[in-house]
Amino acid sequence: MNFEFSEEQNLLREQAGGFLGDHCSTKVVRKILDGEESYDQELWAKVVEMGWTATVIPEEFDGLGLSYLELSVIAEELGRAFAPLPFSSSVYLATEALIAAGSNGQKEEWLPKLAAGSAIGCFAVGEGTGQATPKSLTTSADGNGVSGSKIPVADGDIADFVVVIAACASGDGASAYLVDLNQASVSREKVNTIDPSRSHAKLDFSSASAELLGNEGEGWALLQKIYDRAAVLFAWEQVGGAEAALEMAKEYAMGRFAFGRPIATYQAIKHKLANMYVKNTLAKSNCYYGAWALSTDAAELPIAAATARVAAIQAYYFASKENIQTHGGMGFTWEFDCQFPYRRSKLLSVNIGSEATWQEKLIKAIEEDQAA
Amino acid sequence: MNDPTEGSVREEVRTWLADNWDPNLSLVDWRNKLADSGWGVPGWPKQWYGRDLHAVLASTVEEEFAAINAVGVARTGIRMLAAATILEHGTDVHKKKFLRRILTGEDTWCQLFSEPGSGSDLAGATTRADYDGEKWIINGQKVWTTSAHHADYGLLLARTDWDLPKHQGLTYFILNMKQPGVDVHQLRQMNGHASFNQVFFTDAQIAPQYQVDEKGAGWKVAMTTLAHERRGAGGLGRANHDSGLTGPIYEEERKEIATVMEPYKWYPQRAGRVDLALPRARETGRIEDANVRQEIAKLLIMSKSAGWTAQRARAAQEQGMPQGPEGSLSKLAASNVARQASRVHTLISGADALLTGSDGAMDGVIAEILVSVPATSIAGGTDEIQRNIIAERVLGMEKEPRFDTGPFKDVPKNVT
Repeated sequence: MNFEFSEEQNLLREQAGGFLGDHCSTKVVRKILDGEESYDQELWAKVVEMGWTATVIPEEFDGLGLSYLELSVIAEELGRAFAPLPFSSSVYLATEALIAAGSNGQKEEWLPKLAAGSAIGCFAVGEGTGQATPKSLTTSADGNGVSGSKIPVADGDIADFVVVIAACASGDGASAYLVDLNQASVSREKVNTIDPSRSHAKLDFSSASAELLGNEGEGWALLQKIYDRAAVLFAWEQVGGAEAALEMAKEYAMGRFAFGRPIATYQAIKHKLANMYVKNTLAKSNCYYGAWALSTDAAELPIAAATARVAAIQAYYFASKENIQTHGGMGFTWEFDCQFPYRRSKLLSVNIGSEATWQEKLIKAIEEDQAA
Repeated sequence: MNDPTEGSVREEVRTWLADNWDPNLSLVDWRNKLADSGWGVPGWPKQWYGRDLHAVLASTVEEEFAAINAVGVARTGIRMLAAATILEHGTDVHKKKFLRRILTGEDTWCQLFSEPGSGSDLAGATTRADYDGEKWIINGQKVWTTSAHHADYGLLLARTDWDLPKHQGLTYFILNMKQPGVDVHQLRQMNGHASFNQVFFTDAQIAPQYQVDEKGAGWKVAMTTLAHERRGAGGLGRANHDSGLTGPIYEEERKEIATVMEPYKWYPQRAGRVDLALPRARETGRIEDANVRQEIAKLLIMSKSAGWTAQRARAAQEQGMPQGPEGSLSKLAASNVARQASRVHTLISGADALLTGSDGAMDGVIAEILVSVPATSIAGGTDEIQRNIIAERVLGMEKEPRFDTGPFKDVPKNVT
């Protein structure tokens, strides 16, 4: 098992980091946070041009056919930059759903467009308060199409299609559907969230024409599979963001004076930052493990994904809140950048299932592992 | 002569073992053969019981020993730290007198560094060594000394100059523990075990030739000892062959290891016994409780994180990268794991966790976890010191202002 990236992968990291440093400063993030735009279209075009959206898409569908290790590297850097892009919805979720369950026709239709960035996909599970379960789903499908409401759907306002998890009377209680969003029987409305640098929407379907993705009654299993894969990639984003928060706190502490010396010389501050470093590094170890499991389709993936997910949620939240604390009052202002990692950490801690959900998944996975 | 290769070394050690290994020899006789041949510590210099072999080839030798269950040199306890320090800083007199008997297991050693007044601040030692014209006279007290009650020699850090700044006034000595001026008392811990000792010196004596390196170089030499300790050279006893082998030489070795390991028997409990969390939860039915499940999940994630981090550190070192801050990181991770494990065991057992000994859950093992875990975040460098190391050496944050840079005699100290 690899615990470090290869030389080529590290080169990719340097390129990605350098590119985002030039084109995705916190000024760019702030522009989306403050403005009406849902995402930075100029940056998206450049990211697409660099081939990032095509990373793991097989070459036969116009992708680059690279591994999940490359995608992990990109995810970490996007997370570090708080990139205001629909990358995760389109790449970690929609693309994964198509690769995992799409028919050849569906793949042929969508994957080349996803690779080329001419289509953006999104993923819709939740329908409001609480964690969705097959029983809680009210969105369903009949002969006329999909009906129901999904909220919040990341990038739902700008995506071209959505993968909808809908209730189903048979099988595991759910089915997945591909729904083109450019049709009259879908209405979408942008919703406000605590992270306005990433847009979200409410989607209403009234007998929207839809194609089954995978088999009927296997939607819940498919969802778990996609979540396990996406969790590793989100965890890399989270660790990237947590490292950025630590870096911010360190820079500030070393330059800020109180009682005649830099606050970085006080153990109260040092230990806070050391704790951030420890949590980040431990979470990152889990991300490496997860990336390995993902890139080799290892049987350990559910356990690796859950540990990476939970450790990354905890590390990012901790780093982002302690970064604000290190900055003092100014850290709480709109003017300072401390809000970016904090908002993003909150968003990423609930988007594909909360900490508690993933802890439960871990225990179940270990129980099954030991029973086998 | 050609450089040795894995093949040539394997061939040579096999032949030597075939001619010499004899489980009917006494432990000391066999180990003297190892010392004479250099096969016992092949990584050591040829001149001193070794064969100058690279670490990779030395492990080839170990494999061959393990393959036929041949007993190795004595490795347990502090002795290998003493040997490493003597090899690096000692005189030929030291090497001649001590190294062979370290390898044969005839002498045991202890480390006399920590003091009641200087734990984290090791360089603040106040045990004094005064030269009377013929010999060094030692007065003071050391603490946390494992194995002092049966050790033959001690690695001593003592103050020889009180006018210099604290790091510069220390000298390193080898002290004969079996002499009238040395008193050893056991120190009982809150978990009831007595694994360590306090050592009192009242005009104990050291001949001048048992000073190690220059006068005033004690801190540098102590750093060598501690670096080897961090690298894990201080062996917790484990034989390199199957357990349960019978025969006099195995019996002797088992006894040796048992003596050294005796103080460490509660160490698994100190680390929190993560391995027991799920089995205990199942056995007690508490696995059905959502809160218990969540807390166990947190524990397992912490424990897995620590495990993967350690593996990453090992992989980095195997690729030749320098040892980084992993030690501090792993220590802090271990403290967090131990605390969470203690919490989980309390949650699972409820009031049963209070009962000790045969009344208690798992014959008191659970209760022993609860009263042993606090040691984890202190022993081997407190959590606070580890955080300082990470903040200063990894993150590059400035040190705090210091008040101990002048002559040591003027530095404020603990009243003892």
